[in-house]
Amino acid sequence: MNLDQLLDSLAEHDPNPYHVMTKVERKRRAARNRLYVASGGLAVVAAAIAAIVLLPSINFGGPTTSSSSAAGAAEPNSGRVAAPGAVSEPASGTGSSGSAASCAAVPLRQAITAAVQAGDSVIVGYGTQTGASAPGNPAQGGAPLYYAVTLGSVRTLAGPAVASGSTAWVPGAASAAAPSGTGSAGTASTPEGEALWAPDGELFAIVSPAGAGAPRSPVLRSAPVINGNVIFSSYGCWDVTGLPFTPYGGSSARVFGPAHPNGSQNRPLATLGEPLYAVPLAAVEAVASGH
Amino acid sequence: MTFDEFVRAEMSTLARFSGALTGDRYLAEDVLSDALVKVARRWRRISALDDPAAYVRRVLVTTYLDDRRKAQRRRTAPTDEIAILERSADAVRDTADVVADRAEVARLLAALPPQQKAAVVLRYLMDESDEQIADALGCSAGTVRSHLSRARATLRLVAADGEGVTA
Repeated sequence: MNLDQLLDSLAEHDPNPYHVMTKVERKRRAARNRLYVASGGLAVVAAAIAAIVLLPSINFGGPTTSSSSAAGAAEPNSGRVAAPGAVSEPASGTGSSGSAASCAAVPLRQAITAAVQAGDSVIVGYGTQTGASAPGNPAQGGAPLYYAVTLGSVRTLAGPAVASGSTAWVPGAASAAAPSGTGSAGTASTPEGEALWAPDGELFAIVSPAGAGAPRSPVLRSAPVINGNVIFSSYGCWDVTGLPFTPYGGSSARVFGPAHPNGSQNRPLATLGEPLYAVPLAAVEAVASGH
Repeated sequence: MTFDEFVRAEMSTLARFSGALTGDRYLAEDVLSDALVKVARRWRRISALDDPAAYVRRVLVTTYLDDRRKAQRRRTAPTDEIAILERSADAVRDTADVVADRAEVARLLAALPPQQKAAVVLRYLMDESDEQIADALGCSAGTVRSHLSRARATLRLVAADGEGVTA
């Protein structure tokens, strides 16, 4: 073999440049597609990881934590839980409502502990509105601050025993938000001084026997009991952190509202804009009975 | 120079080189397109080199050798031994008569191991030095000389520069 024969033979198999470039473009396109798919897969994985990391700190309407600001927005009583004795403060003329500062973020368990230590009682039972009310502060238009309730079928879960048939006072539509003298001034935006009421009056409550300076005593800080669940919301400044709960809604949410002497005046909850949480009564009783 | 401009300027040379390496125009298309895809991904860096064409040839050789390595794993008959057997058989025949046949030239080329064939193509088609070939093959210049010597023996090549040997 001589060199010419070799070169002739080597030159016999030149590929078609057009075919080569077609293949180059096809392979580059396939590589880009693989990159997109890989990027998409990575994005999915990243989103899944982010969801796994963030989900525990995001509270979808439930108060599982109180440290996250995201959760705080959805928690029923975030930053609004009143100290147990706070409901007796309306004697000052400002009521316990209207001011977010009157509610501290105290979960129910700690609130019950503090209440029992302060000499309060924790009860479940039924309340019947008598129609009587305590006069409000004349400077605030004379709106009622408290409504009288007769307690029945009382079970004392913690603290001094509370007798069935006794009268207690429920904070109502406080006049703190009614400087203009419009009367019943509880609003959806300032509901702390009001109370929710079950259709049959069943309730869970912390009973403060002698509110210092209160116009009436004892005072109830109550939450309605419906179908075996205690319904907590900003009304009463409840915080159910650490308790099992489910969001509460539906038609039942309209049957009770701020306590008034005349039940017909109760506002439907749909207008209040406050999230509601149902905690099994047994769970609440277990917490209270632990004291 | 953009990648597209480079390809337009060098395509005919690269196509001839690829065809000579592979000995098969379809395989040449595959190997060259694979090499160009690799080059396109790194073109910004490659275009800054003194001799981008030489680098691309190196990529092409590497791609070809990788392809042959994979093909070798799929084959059951080792080509080296075939070449030796062929060479022994041919030794008893008149060398000039055998190599006169074009098909026989192609057969002998096809019998070369990939490294030897790449060395032959780079030397005789691309006119590269031992050092350049060594750089392209990733071996020493001495190994290149060894490859070329063995290849010439297999091909019974009588080169114009007199460095050819016959078996």
